[in-house]
Amino acid sequence: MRHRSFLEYKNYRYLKLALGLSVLGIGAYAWHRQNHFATPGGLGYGGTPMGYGLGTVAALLIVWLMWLGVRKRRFKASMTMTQGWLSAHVYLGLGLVVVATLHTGFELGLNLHTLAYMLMLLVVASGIYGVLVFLREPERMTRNMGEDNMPTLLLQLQEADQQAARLALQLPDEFNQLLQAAAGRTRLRGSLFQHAFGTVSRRCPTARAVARMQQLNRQLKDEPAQRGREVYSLMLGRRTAVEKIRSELRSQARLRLWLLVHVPLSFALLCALAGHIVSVFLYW
Amino acid sequence: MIRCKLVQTIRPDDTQIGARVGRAVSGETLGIGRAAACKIYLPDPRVRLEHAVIGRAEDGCLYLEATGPVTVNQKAQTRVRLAVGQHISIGPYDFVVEEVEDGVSRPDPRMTLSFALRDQALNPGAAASAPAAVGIDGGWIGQRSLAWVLSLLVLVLAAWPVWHAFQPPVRDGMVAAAMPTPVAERAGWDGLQAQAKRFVSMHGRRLDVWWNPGTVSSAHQGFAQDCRACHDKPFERVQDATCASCHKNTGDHIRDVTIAQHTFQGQRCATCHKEHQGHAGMRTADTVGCVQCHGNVRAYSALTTLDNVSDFAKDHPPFRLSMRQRETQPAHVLRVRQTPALRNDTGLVFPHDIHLAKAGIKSPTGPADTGGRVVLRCANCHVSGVAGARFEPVTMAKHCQSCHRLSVDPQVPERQVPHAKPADVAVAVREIYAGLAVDRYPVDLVTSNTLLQRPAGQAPASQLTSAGRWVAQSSRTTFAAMFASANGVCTTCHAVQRDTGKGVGASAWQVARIVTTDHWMPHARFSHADHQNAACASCHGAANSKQAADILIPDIASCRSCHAGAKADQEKVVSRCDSCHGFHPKKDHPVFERVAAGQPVPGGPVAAAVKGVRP
Repeated sequence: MRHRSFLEYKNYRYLKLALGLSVLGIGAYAWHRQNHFATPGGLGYGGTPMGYGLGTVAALLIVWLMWLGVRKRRFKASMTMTQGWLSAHVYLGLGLVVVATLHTGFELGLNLHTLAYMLMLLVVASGIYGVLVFLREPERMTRNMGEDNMPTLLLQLQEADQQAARLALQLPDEFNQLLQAAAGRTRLRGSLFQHAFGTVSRRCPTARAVARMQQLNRQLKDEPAQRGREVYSLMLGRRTAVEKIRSELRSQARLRLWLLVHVPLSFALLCALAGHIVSVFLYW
Repeated sequence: MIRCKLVQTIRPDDTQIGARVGRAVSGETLGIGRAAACKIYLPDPRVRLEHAVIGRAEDGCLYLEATGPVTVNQKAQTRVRLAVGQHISIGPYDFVVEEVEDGVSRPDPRMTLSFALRDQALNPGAAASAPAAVGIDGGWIGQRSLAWVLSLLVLVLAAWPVWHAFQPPVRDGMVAAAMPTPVAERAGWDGLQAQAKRFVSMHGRRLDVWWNPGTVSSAHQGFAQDCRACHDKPFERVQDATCASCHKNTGDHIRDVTIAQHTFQGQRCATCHKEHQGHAGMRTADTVGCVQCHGNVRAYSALTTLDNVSDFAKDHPPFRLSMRQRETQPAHVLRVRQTPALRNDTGLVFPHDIHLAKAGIKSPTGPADTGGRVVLRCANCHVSGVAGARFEPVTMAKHCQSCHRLSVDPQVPERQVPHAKPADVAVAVREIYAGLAVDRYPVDLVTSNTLLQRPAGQAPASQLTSAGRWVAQSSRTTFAAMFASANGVCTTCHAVQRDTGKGVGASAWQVARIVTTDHWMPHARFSHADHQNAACASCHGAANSKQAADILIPDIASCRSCHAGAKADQEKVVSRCDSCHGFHPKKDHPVFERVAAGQPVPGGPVAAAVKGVRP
């Protein structure tokens, strides 16, 4: 059976739901605006019965969408259920943009209420980026790793380092320095940002060793030249492994990085939304 | 030839106690390094190919000459004379010089070196490629910390302006005292602080507009920046009393206080008047609000005389006309449903059709070429009032008398009687004829002297002289004709009754009271000025009206030919409830009430001016 992504869950059940919600919302808004909308200023306004209705739906959607964070941390939740939740999260999150926009009545200004709306848009935009990342990165990770996995790659590194160290004992000092630097100072650990933006591979000793050894090998003759070539090919293998590890970690970082925008912004949105609702229902 | 005994301590598995393995090497020089040719062979990548050399110098002593990094007793050295007890570090190896026998006298110097690998790890890269050295560090920037920071930022952004707005106001004097010198002249941190303080004191009060959910109505723009102008207390709705503190002359929708309270229980000004909805937002409440009650008004009050209405185009009942009644004194106003048969007896005789005849109507001032006919238009009599909404009252003197002259005798058409009560008219008629008698009978006139000397019981001069008799006769006849004949000067317009018991004198004639209605629909808002593009005849059927009792107020069907309901119609004007109706009856502003009651008014001169303006 072909793997089905969360976007296709139950034959696009939640896409249909979100589309239905959006069409219903737009239709209701148009009908309301045409027939019952009579604010004297003729401005759109979230305080009409229709506005309150749309606003309530939008607020409930936001709370429900954020509940995913609680939901996915529960181990009891089965994989399929989580997939269903994720699918609904994505599509209803997109539907939220339509409902919330209708709720504004297209009246925006420089105030807390519009801040809540803008934060909502930013959260959804980051979410859309997240979906793209989730569609792209796992496939890239699989392609990158091939037959390998992280422990075997690490073993390969160790193996290459040991062999190269042994072989290079009879080679000029610079070989050994390069090998030591490559073995000791090649960075595979870093922050989320260093991995995601690739700064972890900046001035990589392994890459430098490969580049430099190519030059050094030309100066060697006879038996040392043979060894040099062997060390060089070991370093080439090391570089490939390092790149694979880094690529894997970059993908992992990318899968997590957007959440640093998505999640905190959604909490900020929740605060702004609370302010909006309190001011509308109590203060006013 | 240098002979050297090498003692290596091998510690398997990095234990502290190791096995000592000895061997002897000899040579002219003893190379130390990774190279196979080195006598002291150190197979470790951290050691250089040829790291150092032990050789004999001119003085016969043994020296260590380093090409790579070597420390002797924790000191970096490049050339050092070997001595017993020295600790030499080369790469990961530690050497201890245990014995040295050298010098100029000795041909074959000897020495004993013991050495051991300091750290066991053969491969220094092992640490770097261990699983612990691979991965993604959390760092302090995480979802949780960022969520806290952003949420707090939003909360501060929300709360601070409100907090600031409710701080006690900074008096101008206090601000001035806090800044003795002009801000611009103060430098550094002090100046910056002062500048910030001034900025906040000037603009800080406006920061709470951050909560403003929409444009404030144009009438309230003057204090739109100050939330506290209406929002007295935080987290409390705007109170009606706050609205009423400015809107003092806004009356209640229902005059009866009990019914009003019952009907509008729980409702506020803001229930209908929603602020923050744009410049025109507050001006009027929406039709939906009206229809909520008036769509089924009987459900709210069983006693109401109102009909249900939901839309002007659909189910607005026919108009009710407020007509002043002649029968009562003072004229009682009766609201009557408009029907085609409805008439309003005004007591006046006035056919509109004759006056508006296309051929014109005869007038004493009419041009000769038309036979004295003048074509009248509505505006000849109905003159728009100052406000343009309604018309000035039609008066005899201004609008009728130029044609309807109150002439008594054709000989002197220019002499007219006043438009007054019969008794006054009678006097005026007699005076006119008396004047004529002077011309006609000069010899018969009595002198003032004879008049004075008239003996008691004698008939008055008017009866005695022929002139007097003529005056009396003419006056009586003419006066009677004015009131009695069908086209008499008075009866042309007035209905006149004669009390037969009182002869034909002034007291015998009773002119019917004229009561006209000048405001037919006082509850509706209508302005003729707004309708000036339409011809009068398109609404008022005056050209066919034969009686003054005809009601020329257009019926609702006539209005509906141009006015649609709340729903847009391509050819008609959208008309909502508030297009014609007001919700609040106007109440006199308290100032005018005080003026009317003769009470003192705060601000005397202004009040006096007001008094002058008000009728």
